[in-house]
Amino acid sequence: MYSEEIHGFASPGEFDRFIRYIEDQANMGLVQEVKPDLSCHKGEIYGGRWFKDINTNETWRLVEPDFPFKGLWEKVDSQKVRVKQQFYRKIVA
Amino acid sequence: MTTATPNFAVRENFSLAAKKEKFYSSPSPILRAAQDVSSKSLILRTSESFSASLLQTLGVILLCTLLLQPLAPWRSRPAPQNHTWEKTFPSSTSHLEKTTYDYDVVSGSSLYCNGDPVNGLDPDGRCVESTLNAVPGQAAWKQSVASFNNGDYGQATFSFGLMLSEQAKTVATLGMGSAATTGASVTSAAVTETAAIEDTLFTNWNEFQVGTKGQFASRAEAGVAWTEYKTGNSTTYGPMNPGPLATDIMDTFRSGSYIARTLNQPTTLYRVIGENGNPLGRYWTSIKPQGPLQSIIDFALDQNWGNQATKIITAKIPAGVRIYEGPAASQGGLVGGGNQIYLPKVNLTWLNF
Repeated sequence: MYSEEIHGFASPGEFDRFIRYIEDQANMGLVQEVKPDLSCHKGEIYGGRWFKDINTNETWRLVEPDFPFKGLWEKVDSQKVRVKQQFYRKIVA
Repeated sequence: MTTATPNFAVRENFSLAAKKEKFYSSPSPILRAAQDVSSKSLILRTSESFSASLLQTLGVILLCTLLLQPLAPWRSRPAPQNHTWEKTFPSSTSHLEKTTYDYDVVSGSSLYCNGDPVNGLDPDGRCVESTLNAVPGQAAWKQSVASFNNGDYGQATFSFGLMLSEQAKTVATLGMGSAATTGASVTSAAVTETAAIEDTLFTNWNEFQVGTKGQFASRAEAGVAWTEYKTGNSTTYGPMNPGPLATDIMDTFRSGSYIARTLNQPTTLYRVIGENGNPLGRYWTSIKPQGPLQSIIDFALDQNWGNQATKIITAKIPAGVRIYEGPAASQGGLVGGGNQIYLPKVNLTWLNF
């Protein structure tokens, strides 16, 4: 799987090609699409499609462009975010 | 003082009518104003006293102009005329000799300085400040000149004195009000529906926490938002103090600078999209778009990304939502600078269809 972060795709076409690449990887069984953690908002960016690398067990997310934001492919540390959220919810409750 | 006397003022064989005709044909408004002065008492005056008073008047105006020059940096900016921005380049750049941006052709005037960049300043694209307020005493000076031109010499003298007193006061209090000025300019940003604190939805910290549940990642963030909500203040972030936004988002604001603030009353925001655009996107503006061309230029909508800005989406954002606001960064040769608001999460129920 492509294991280098992408901060901003050059064009919508490039983003589409990257989606096709990741979906091909998923079809080949190298990555697995997982349910995204909706509470995760690293850098105040929510959502995206989440993929788990079978070999490294890392989770990455692909956020679609919303110009002038040009999209994102980055590793997410969902566990850390989840613990933080749970801690906050406990305090609020 | 002996000086060379202007020819048109002293020739003894000139008739009064000839003198008037000569004076009124002068292109300079200052000479015209001086002529007004002289014509009222011309009969009684000798040509020598007239020329002396004329030179004194010119000297005072020249002195005041020189004194104000360092305080008026905008005078060096290219000034648009009647919503038409025209810039002439040196003749060496043959293919770029003249570039005209006429914002009125399709969609109305530019958002920059509310379409009046001659009389307004817009240092960061968020707010319009009058040039009359930018320099102490500038309004009084303009009033003084106008009164002088109209022949109201008493008012002109009074306004001139007022200008001097304002500038003296500014010098005396220099540095004492900078914090207040900064705070005022930030809070007077582009969202026009500024809130009165009495109209807030949440009256205490507990209500705020319940009302904004799930929006903030930590208690500290919620605390900051509550403070912003309660006081109406905002926090400024930039490259040296990046704040909560990811670099990818921060770079969509001009110079990577933005303010974060929490809405303390429901606020209407707008978003422009193409025919198949996403109405729930992250980028909004508080200023109602005037048309596709204006939106494309002000928000620097690079057309390679397909947003033709043909549809306007309106949303009413509830109080308690934290927004990130700043001028749009330039993209693909488009200048940007329009008011841009980043909303991390948009709820479908906020939209007005």
